[in-house]
Amino acid sequence: MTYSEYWSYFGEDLFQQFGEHLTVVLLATLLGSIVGVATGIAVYRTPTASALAIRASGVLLTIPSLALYVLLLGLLGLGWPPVLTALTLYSLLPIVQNTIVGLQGVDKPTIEAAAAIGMSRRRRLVRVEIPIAWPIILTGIRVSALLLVSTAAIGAIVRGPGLGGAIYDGLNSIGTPTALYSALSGIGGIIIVGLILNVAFMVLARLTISRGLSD
Amino acid sequence: MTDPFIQLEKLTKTFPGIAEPAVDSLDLDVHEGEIVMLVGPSGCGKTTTMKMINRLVEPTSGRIVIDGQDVTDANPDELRRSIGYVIQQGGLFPHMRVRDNVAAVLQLLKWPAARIAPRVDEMLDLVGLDPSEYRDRYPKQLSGGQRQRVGVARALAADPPIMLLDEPFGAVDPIVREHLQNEFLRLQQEICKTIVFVTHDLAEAVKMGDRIAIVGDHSVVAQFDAPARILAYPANDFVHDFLGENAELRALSLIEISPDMLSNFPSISVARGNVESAQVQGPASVVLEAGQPVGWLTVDAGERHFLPVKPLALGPETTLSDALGQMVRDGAPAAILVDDAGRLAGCLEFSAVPRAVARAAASSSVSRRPRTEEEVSGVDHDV
Repeated sequence: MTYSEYWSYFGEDLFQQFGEHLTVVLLATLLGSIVGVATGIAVYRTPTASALAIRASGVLLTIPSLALYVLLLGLLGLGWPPVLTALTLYSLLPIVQNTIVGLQGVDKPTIEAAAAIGMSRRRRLVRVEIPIAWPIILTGIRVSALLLVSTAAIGAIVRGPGLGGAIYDGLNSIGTPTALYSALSGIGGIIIVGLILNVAFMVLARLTISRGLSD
Repeated sequence: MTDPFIQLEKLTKTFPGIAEPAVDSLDLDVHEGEIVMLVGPSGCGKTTTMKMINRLVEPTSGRIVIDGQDVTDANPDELRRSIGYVIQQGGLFPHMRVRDNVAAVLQLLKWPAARIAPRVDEMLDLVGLDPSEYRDRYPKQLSGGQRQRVGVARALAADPPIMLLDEPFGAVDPIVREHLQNEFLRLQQEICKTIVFVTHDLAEAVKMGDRIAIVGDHSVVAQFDAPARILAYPANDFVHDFLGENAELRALSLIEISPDMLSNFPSISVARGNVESAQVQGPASVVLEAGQPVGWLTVDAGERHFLPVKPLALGPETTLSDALGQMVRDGAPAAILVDDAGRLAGCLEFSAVPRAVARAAASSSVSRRPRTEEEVSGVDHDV
């Protein structure tokens, strides 16, 4: 069988998996950003709480993805729910850590100037601290997203969405004519997802980071 | 004597965990339209004191009264919107353009956008920055001096009656610092704000202040008076040590040369271009070329020397310090002063200087001479 023959049979499935992969990563990143940034904002002023938040999200990351998926299987079943949940949990560490570091790193005189002008705490946070910390926070989100791209592939173990399925099928059918094509298609597709996300984040950075902050 | 505009009554600040108070029962008053300098060694509490005025630091006890109102417990955010605050390097928001930095308070006060834009330009003009060139720049594209100016523009935008400055000119080099100080004094003549200015630099305090508070540990005020009087009559050892050796020399830049300090020297008139032909009349004579003094003619062991000198114009901005400078620089026997028309008004001899200092310190009407347009017209706006 040639690759084009393989493609005529399985191309449509692959496209769907490609879409699923992109979607689950983006969704998990979004959820992780909401939770992670909120957590970072809540704790960055307190050194002990900050350390705790970073430690906790770090612990999550050390749980091998295979084990986490299987654990969540019992609670959430097969398919999207366990994968989405696991990915969201994995995304937390870089986001929480970068949010904390970014906010803590804002120049003290700048914050003092904001207070001296008469800005309330909330306004200072929204108008001054977060915009200045944003490049670092966005980097955390980007790192998370790219981390999730490969971790999502393992979700195939619980029949999760995405290109992991193609790789898994390939591994399971070693010896058949399509095995290699499946695995390679899966890997290739994941690489493309990664590239697309990289470009997307570059564009996002260009659009949302103030030019006064770039080096 | 009108009521003071800012009154600090028994103001105390104790930081948690530290037994000694940073500010210990301080009483201070500031009159409307005056510049009060808080000057003292590092760590004496002067910045903490100033920050209590706009409640960036909350007092442990005591009262702050501004314009007759007790603001000790007022809403701090609202209070700060009526007080301009300038720190080193301006404290600009790096992610905002200059125009948004300057407009920051105005936006808090909910000014309509149509009013904000012209006001921003007006403020940039006021601090000597061309709006069309600077309003769209980011702080990282500005030099230290320019950032400082934007910081002042931002503090002035809402036209607050009070300004607090915390070593605003500390982070720039001496030449830029002098320019900024001169421009600030010029500005103050126009806007007449009530200003509290913290510095550790005595020279800056003497130059800028209407009154100076020499501050020691725990923000204890060792002496609070006009610069000339402090320099001439230090109240105690602490002040004396702080002023350092040769404190009296600082007073020289405060005292304007008045006609009664001058004495007459013989003068020789020559036609234009004929300086060489001047006949000697005594050991030292002023040479007048077409009625205007151009220098000294001296005789030294039979040799005649012509010393060209640029005369000083008699006026509010010409001080004993300038006269002394001329004598030292040119090696002249006395400083040559001219009137508005450029004609010889008289000469200031070296011996007249100490007398003038003593008289000025004893007088009760020592005022700072204002800087004029001519003096600051040479300012380089790229610093």
